[in-house]
Amino acid sequence: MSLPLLLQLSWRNLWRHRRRNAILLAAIAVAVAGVVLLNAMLRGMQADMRDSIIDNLTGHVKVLQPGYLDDPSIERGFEVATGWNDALPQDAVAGWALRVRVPAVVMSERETRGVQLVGVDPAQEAISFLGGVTVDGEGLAGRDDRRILIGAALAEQLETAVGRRLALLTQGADGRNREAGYRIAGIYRAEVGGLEKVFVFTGADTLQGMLDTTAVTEVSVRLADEAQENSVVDRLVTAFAGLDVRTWRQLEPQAAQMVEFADAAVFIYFVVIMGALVFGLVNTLVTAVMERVRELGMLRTLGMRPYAVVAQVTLESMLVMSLGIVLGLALAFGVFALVADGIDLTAFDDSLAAFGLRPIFVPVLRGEDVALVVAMSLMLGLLASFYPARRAVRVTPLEALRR
Amino acid sequence: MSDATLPLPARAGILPGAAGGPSIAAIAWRNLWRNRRRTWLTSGGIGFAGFLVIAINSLQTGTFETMIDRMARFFSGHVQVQHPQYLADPRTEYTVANAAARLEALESRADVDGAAPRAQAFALLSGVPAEDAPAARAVGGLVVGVDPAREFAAIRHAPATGRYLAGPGEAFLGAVLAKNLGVAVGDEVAIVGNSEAGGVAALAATVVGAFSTGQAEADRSWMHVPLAEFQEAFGLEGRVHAIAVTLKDAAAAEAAALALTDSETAGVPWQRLLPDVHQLAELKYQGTYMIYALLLVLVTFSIVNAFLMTTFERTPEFGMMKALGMGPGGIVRMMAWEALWLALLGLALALLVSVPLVLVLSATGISFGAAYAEITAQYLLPDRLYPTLAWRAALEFAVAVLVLTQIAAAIPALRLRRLRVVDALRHEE
Repeated sequence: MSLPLLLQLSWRNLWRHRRRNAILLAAIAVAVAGVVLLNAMLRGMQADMRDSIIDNLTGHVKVLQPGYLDDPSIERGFEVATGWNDALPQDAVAGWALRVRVPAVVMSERETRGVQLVGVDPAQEAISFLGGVTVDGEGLAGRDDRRILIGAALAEQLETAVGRRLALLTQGADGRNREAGYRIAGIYRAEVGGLEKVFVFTGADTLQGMLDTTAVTEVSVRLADEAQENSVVDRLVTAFAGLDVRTWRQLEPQAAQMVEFADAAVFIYFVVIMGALVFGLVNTLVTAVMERVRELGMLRTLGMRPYAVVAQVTLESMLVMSLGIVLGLALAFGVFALVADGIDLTAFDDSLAAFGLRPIFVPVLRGEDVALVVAMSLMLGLLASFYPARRAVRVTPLEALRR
Repeated sequence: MSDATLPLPARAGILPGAAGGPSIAAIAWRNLWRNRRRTWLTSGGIGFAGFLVIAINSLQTGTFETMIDRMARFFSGHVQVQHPQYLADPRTEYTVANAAARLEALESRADVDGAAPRAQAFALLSGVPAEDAPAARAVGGLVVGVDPAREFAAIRHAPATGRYLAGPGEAFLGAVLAKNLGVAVGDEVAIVGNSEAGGVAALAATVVGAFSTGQAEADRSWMHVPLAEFQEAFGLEGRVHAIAVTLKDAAAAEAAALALTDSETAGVPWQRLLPDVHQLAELKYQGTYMIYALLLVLVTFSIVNAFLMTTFERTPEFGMMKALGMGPGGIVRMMAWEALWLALLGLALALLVSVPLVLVLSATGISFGAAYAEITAQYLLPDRLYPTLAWRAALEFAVAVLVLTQIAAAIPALRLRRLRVVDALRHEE
């Protein structure tokens, strides 16, 4: 029997029980849409977590003095020679920043807190979250700005305001403590609230002056093309001999682990959701075979080959599956369009912030994930037809006549 | 022949539910087994979904119960008695009224495991190391004045070096903090903060031990000193900021908090003391509710289909029963019973697979590998996770399935009420 004829037969068989097959179609559509959407949400979370880490003064790649992570002090700083970035592939790099970052104690008239004091060149900080914060008051004007920029949450804890002064205490390059007063230029609000309590910014020159040094503690590089990460790392290793060059995955291994977990989750969702679907699918397919025992027996008697019987049942399953996938994808894209602007999870802000996630959560639909779900669903349609097809092949003319 | 109910009386033993014959319930049960394959597949679908719901929920419940209990015993307690404004705005002057009397009252309560008075403030810490050691540093940290005899905080049992507080003039601090301060056991630490009156609070203590928990914030910034000395330095004679309470039953925290709230003080349950943990649990639960909802929708579709197929095949039989005098309600009732048996069978399968599995795993625990252990350490979870059988989720799932199967069966069954006997008897297979 030719394939077109078999297809036609299978197609017509589907129309013999419209209601039943409509429900089956709906079930497949819901399952496919469910897997695709759950996965899009997870992908959104994954992207968000990754971006947050990279924004959070980490960048894609960072150069540090060995031992700085365990003992973050200016004694672990290093000098940066001009021209260090000449060898970097320009198309791969979105930007870079040189920073002086030391632990410090900040004191207002009423309160005391431990913070990270970061000396920056504001012009370079488009690569970090600092480039995107909203500021009450003024931002830092340049690397020689002698004022500070603090987070809104910290300002609240310290009971202070724009224009007031704070005392900052930290350790200088000679190991002695330095204390200096700074006027608050502005108060920033970060998307990830937790950052506001951690980072206090000032001009890089100002902080170097206070610490009595010309060194920086980190060089952070943000990539424009992540595929070139390895080559950028290699160039940095050459440019900064003796220093550590770390990627964000090495700097934040826990978060990188969670990001990787999302890659496996699409399979988990598929097994869970499609597993529940497959019972109903097999049930319907077997019934469709059993109802046609007479007819199948007759066809066999008339000389239909077993493979044609198998093909017919398999085609039926694949047809329903394909239609269901098309409907499911339409449903998924429809729902996705509704939520593509973001889902408000402000109610979970404290917990999200602990994982570096933003309160407005934007799902991400990736072509390769959708393709994977489609491919796996078709495979499932094939597998689900195995048992009904085997049953159909076993129909003998004798069994058919007894009905 | 529009309505063809024949005027024959229902005779005993012929029609389901008639006096003397098998009950409708019994017939419905037998009907299920006329198509074994379908019954097993449909109930198998219910069983699979139920297994997932119970297993996932058990793992989550186990994880979060452990997480919450550990976080509470680790430091915050299940409930804290505080000044009503202290949680939102932790100022030094917001202290607990009549703390001594409240502490005594708390300790006499049957549901209370432990009660620890605490006073705390952020302060500037600096190490005063021995002559030949590298230079000391100044670091900001959270200094907590504790009563070592009453203090339950589990960090006291996790010394990386040395021991917990035993007498006056001692300090017990996070291992990372000790390292950042450049101090070791035996070294002095100077504490400078703001006293209640706005003046300078200063205190010196000798490091007797350092703890290491894996929780970054605690290891980096916490220090315990004796309560009396803290109170004296910060101008808080006899006053505390919180009485932290551990309960025998963590689930009773909200009720206990309410009972401890009065006009002068607020009882604060762990849900508000540890908002990130609480929200994490809620977020996870809500996320999985979406998966449960999807599973239930799929199960319902499969049940509706199963009943559509069964009513289609049995149309002649229903016609016959109607012809023999069974009322329209009888068929609907029988289908309802079939749906009930099917649901119960599926639920039994779900329990049969999930309950033993969860019980075994709750004894042996599940390991998620070293990388996961690093993440869980932030919430003080052990390397192995122990699921707790989620009876509530199982019950919710059971109710949902029972209701949904009834609806699924009712749709085709109600259509049968319009069935005409002649059409039914002629129905082609």
